[in-house]
Amino acid sequence: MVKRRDLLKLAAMSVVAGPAPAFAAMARNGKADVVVIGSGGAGFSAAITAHDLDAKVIVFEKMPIIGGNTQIASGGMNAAGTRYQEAAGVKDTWKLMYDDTMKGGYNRGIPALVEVFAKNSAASLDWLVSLGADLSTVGRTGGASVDRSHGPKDGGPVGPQIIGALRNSIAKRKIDVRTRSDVTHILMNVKGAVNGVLVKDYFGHTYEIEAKSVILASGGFSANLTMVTKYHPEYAGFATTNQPGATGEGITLAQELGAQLRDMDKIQIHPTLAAGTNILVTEAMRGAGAIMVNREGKRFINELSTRDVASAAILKQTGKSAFLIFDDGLRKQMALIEGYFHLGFVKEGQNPAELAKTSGIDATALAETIASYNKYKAAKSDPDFKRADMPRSIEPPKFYSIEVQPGIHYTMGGVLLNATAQAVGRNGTPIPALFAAGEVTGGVHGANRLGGNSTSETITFGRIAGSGAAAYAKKS
Amino acid sequence: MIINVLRPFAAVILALGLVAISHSAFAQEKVATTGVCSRCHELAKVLPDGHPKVAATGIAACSTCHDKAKVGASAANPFSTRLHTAHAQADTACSVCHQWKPGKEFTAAGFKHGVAPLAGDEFTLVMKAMKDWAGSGNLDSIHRGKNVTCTACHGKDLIPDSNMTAVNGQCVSCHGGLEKVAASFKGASYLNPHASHLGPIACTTCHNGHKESKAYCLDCHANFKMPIPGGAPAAAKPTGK
Repeated sequence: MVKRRDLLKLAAMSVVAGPAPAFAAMARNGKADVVVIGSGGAGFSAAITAHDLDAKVIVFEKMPIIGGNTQIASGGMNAAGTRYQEAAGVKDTWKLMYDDTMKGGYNRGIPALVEVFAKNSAASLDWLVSLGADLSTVGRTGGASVDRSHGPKDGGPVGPQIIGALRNSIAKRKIDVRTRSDVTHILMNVKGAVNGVLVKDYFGHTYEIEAKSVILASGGFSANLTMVTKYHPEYAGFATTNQPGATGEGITLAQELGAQLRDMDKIQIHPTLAAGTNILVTEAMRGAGAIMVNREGKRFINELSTRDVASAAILKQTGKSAFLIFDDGLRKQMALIEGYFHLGFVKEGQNPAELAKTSGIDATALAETIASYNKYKAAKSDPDFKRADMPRSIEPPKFYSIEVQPGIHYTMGGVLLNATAQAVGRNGTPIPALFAAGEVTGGVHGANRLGGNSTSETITFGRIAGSGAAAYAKKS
Repeated sequence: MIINVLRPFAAVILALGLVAISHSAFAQEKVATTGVCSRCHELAKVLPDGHPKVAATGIAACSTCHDKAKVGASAANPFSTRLHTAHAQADTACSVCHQWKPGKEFTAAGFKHGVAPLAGDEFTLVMKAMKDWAGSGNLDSIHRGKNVTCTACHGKDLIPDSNMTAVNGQCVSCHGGLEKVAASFKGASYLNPHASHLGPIACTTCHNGHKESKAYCLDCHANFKMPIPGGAPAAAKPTGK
């Protein structure tokens, strides 16, 4: 192992220079064309793409299960100009998606990246569908000008659809995926090109995989409160919607190699976690017609506001929480709402006053709010908060509420990447053989991410990274 | 039947050097029939009542009868389990019955061939696992109670890969896949841990052989009550609302 290495930067140096591994029989040093770090939407998309370009791929996942945050993504996948939008009569273009994304991110997104993101979104969706995902319905999420959030026909969560299709495709291709395998260092030669990884297995044994290129797809750091509060001390004690493995080690790995980071302080607070839990209540509920009120029974914001705006508004309400209000019609329309009933999040009533009582909301005001909103819906005009899309009114027989409060949801910042998904160094040039995709990167979403844009980004840049890494491996 | 009962025990038997019951090849490798047991035991006193008189004082001789190819008295006689349990619970050092050359071979006394050439830390892992198996509340010990030993779960490679590929395969082989296990769930369907939104996850995500088991669901759904065999004592049945 030592002989092969020209140079191992920073902390990795000490690992290689140390005593020979004591686990001769356990050692599984090996080779691959492309190593992928992470098995979420980005990692698996990259792995499949690289494999299909004849690269020998190994995927490392530190958690005991695959899927990352994509597995638990509940909302949808944004894509512009898709066949499903066309079938639904939705007129959308990549430019409109670009504009929405730039605007939603306060023009902090890198235009070249956002363009790639928006232009490739429909093709990414088609690719997933070709792998077996059902993304046939379209809906609205905050910050989108039109219905472009795609999900399965039954209104269920989008994550299992995406990961299910990717997992099956990985299995079909017999791609080597190693769970409970933590990449502790990315290796680099004297020329500054990445050429392998050190991996710690379940038993704590470290081994090396030599690789021609490496794709970092290890996710964000929302589940690492220490890291989050380094940038935002005011988030101390916040819950997170993320899977427990979203702890940001990939960012440290890239830093060791001299990668440039961007927007690390841009951390998204999701407005609607079920109060007192770390379970996200999908934004798609509001898109599909739920309204949001405070304890005083009044709406206080356009429900389709971007996440940062909605979160800030909720934190200003009494008790720093709010209530989603919906009816039986919406319950029947969205399969995943049933899960919130199972989880015990939902209060109910036969009428607004009864619901208000069970929920701890002002009864008179709630009844008035619902009546007013229904009138606005009928008139297609919301004079109070200018909500543009009101797909349904709130009607008997039953009324429901879910108390929600903000929590840490997404880290917009990370490793700077270029339009070909290469990680960019502090000197502004790409780090040879190091590619990146998904939440570990920064630059696409700017200062705030729109709902449904993350799944889309992971697939698009995962595919670009897979393709780039395979091509790089072929050359070297 | 005897084959099924004893098949899983091969590596443990070899690993601890007590008897080669796995296959006839090992029986042919026997080189000594004296020694090991008699270092500590007077055999006439430790053999069960009714056991035929034996002249040998070493383990290898036992496999004449206690071999999966044999039938009769050893059929319902989990020889390996009994010996390993007793010795591990008594804190008997592996080296009493085993010869070990780190990274080269791990051999049962009286036999030429051993199992995996356990390196230093691998040996430690096996030793710890064996002790756990012999007397913990974990899954390994629960399996021991049903005469299931190492190779039943691990196959011939005692040290699994990080995916626990062989182990998970064996879980499914005996217990059935997720669908089958899910079908037997008695609680509310939405709390069925074998039919979760996480899809087809590995058994070992939640079920640990050599440490306390814990439902992975609890990492996010901390309020769920999810009892699990080999886990911390469960206070209640699963509940929903």
